Amino acid sequence: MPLTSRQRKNIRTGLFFVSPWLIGFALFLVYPIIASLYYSMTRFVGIGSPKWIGFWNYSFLIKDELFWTSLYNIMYYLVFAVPLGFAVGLGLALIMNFKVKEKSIYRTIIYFPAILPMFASAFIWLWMFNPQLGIINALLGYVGIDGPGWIGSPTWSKPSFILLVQWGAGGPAIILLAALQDVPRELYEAAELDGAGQWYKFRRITLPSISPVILFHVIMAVSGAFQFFDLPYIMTEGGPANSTLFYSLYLYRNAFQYSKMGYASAMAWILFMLNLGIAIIIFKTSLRWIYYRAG
Amino acid sequence: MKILLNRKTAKFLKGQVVTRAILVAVCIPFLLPFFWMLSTALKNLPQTVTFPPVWIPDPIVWDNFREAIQTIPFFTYFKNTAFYVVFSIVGTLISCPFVAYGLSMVRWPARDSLLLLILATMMIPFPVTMVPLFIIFGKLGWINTYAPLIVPTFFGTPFFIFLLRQFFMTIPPALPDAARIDGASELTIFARVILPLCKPALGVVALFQFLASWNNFMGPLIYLMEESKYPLSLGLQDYRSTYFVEWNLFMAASTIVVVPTVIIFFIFQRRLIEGIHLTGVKE
Amino acid sequence: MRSKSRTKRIMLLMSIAVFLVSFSLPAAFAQKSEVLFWTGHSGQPERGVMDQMVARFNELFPEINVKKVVVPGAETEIAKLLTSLAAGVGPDAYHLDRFTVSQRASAGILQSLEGYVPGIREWVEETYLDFGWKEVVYQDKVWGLPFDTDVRALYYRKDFFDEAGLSPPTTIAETDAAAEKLTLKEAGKLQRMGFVPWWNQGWHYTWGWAFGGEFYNADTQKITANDPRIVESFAWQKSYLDKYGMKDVQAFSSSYETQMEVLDPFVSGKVAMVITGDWFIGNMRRFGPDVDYGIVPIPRPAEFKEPTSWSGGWSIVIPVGAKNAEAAATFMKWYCGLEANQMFAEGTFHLPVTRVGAATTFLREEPGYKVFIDVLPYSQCRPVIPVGGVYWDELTAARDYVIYGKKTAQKALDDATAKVQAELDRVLSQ
Repeated sequence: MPLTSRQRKNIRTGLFFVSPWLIGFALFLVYPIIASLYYSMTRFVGIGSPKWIGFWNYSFLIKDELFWTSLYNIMYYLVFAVPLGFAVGLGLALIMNFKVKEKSIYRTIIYFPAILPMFASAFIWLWMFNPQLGIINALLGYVGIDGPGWIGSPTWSKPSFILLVQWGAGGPAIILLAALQDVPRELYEAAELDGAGQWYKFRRITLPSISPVILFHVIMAVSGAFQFFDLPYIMTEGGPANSTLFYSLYLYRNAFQYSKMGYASAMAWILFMLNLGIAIIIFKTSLRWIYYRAG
Repeated sequence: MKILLNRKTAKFLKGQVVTRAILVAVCIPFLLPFFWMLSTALKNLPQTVTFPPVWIPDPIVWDNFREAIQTIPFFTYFKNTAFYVVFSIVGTLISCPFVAYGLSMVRWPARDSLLLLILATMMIPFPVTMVPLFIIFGKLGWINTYAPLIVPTFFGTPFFIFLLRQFFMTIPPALPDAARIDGASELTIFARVILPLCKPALGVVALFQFLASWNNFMGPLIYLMEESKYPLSLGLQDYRSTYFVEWNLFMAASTIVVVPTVIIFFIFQRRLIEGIHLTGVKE
Repeated sequence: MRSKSRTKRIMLLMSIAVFLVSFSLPAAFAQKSEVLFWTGHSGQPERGVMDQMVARFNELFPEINVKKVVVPGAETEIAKLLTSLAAGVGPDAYHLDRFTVSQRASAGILQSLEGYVPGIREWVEETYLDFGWKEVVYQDKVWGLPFDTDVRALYYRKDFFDEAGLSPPTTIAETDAAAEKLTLKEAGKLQRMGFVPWWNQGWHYTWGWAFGGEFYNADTQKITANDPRIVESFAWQKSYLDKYGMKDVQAFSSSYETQMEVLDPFVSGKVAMVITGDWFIGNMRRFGPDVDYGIVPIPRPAEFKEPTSWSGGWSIVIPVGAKNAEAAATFMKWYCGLEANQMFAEGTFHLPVTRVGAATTFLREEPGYKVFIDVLPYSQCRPVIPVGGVYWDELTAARDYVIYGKKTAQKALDDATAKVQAELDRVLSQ
């Protein structure tokens, strides 16, 4: 069917308005992703021209102990931080939804750490986690617990970060809260008439109603986890004994400290595929639990 | 009847007390780090290392703030941060509403698929594109300048485009349509009809961009080299590694970078939360 | 209403103009007679003294203007240097940790100085201490000039030693015994440790050499990090964790190890002995003037009678793509010369690396410096190989694996040897 002149004009207008993004998309996303595939097949130190070496970087990566360490570290972080972050976020959202007069004060307190600069949080927590002088172990001491070494101990360093990032759980919580408030009241009222309990209402009404937001949150949390960088860079520099050498930290090191641009690009491509794979799995499984309200 | 009422009141009161107790208990861990930061910032050096810890500093040393600022080129860092923040906001406010207009006010076939694509790009972690971007900006001679951090904002940021698009969708289509019938061009409609209507949404976007730039650490870390060009995020990091671990001064400096966020947050709190509601992510 | 929107538009245009101008500004200021000098030294007192040195040079050589730019962490973030060089905005002179000169030279990042200073090879050998010039010569060419040097020894707290009736240790066994006596535990927490071998300058090289190990065989071009003596030195460090409890030592380390200035663990009495360098005398003066301390050579196993130490230091190099290499060479010769060496020593307590400077420095008259001057002839430098930086990083990683109980000393050092050897073979084959 040929387009009418009106439709053609609309396409032109639409493209005109979205053109800045399309250009940016091509320059700052599509080109870099393709370029990094090329660079990943080369040896390039940032000066001179890249030297083609085929799959050498990838085969070297497989043998690189630190690559596997960094992958293990980020998967460990992902597997614990994402579900915990969701649970804490949802818990906070439910609590923030309590109907009391001064609720905005509580919301402010819970939300505020989420917008704090990471670098400032890092400093504060470095001090909080100090095993001998910090407040956390002092508080644990009051109740008779001999606190661990936190970020100074290879066993506790990853759990420390997973706990620490929950301080920013107010961010997802506020998004989930917005979703909670959009759940139609009639649904609850109808269920109450049928004599449904709190748990039933939560399980059968609340969760399905906010499931699209949950999906969005989980996907963003996964890609956020893959970018986890500021805190370990500032607080532990990957230590102790590489226990907090997360993927993007090792990628950064290869690229900027060792100037192995090709090698880092190979890592970037693996990260891209990994992230894509996980996102697809989440989308596929989400078909089973996600619930789109009609309209 | 009277008893029933009392029991009801009692239940109500109990509910209120329990609710508040839960809320306060949940808030404590969120407040504690701030308290500890402030408390340390006001201590003298010996008190920072005493065990068991001192909760309320005695004496209160306000001078720590002055010293923290003077030990590093604080105002240079602050000026650089301000430069970055202002121009990234300008870039965002120019590009994002423009793109959002094309995604909401004009009816054309690929529009909604494009929106999905824009949203999908939010999932790609920055480290994926970091190396080639660095190489490109290097070739342009932009390393050690703020260009790699500011120029991309002139091409739109997915999240902000989405947010504004959601807002534009709440504007009745009759408005631009009436202007079209009057023969106004799309650019005129965008600038004269739509933009004036979306000031609150633009405010929210500006606010988010402020936070994004103020908080950005990895970008400046990668692109900037000279210390005199550092923003606060990097400057403070350098401060820690080179100068001292005098925790009181260090916490005083941290307090100083937290304060602008606090102020901005309290001024725009309402809008910020409205803005988040706007994103809704319902579709 | 109209005028308001016009004002807005003008403001917008102005801000775009300012934005564009601010990016092109640096280019407009660039001048040809200028030597751009990058240094990573951002801490005091080095920073201030180096400012004075550059000012002095500019005064002495009016035809050249050296512009010193502080680029923190530049040395560890080599990619930015390379990218700037590729884009033509890199420095003419660059402050480089000397033991990585051969690595950077082999990677083709540096210019050899032969073309700029005739007879340079003989000149550096005559002018600088042996370990100093050896580090800047690679494949028979000179790639930079040594800037300063340092030596390592054991600092001990006289007050604690007197209190316990101990005398300073000379052997490893004596060190262990003293450390045990001087460690204090209160309420289950370590309040003071006698000694933490790997703190401060207690590096892998320090102990590997003290135990008689060799890190590289130049004849066979083999990395020998798993030399049994080095393995022994790592295992010995680990024994401190076994003795005092891994968890306790970790908590103690992460609380105090990185504290500096007045809170430095040695200054504040958290540790009774520490391996550190000659420059630390300056720190003691400024931050612990009342601390009663002494300095002795690094303890060694009883069978070794000669003292041990190693020296590092910085150098100035000219990267490829420098726009003003000729003037940069003039600057370097002065900046790494006798007068500059002395200025730096006086301001920062770093040892001069010129032969004359080292022989005549005022530091010789300083009471604490005697030990350093005595061990200087025995001091070694790290292997001059094109993978020096990688080797250092791998040794550090291996050391961490051992002290955190993740790998045995043998396994950690075998792994490091294999990895660095592979890297070395790759570079040598090119």
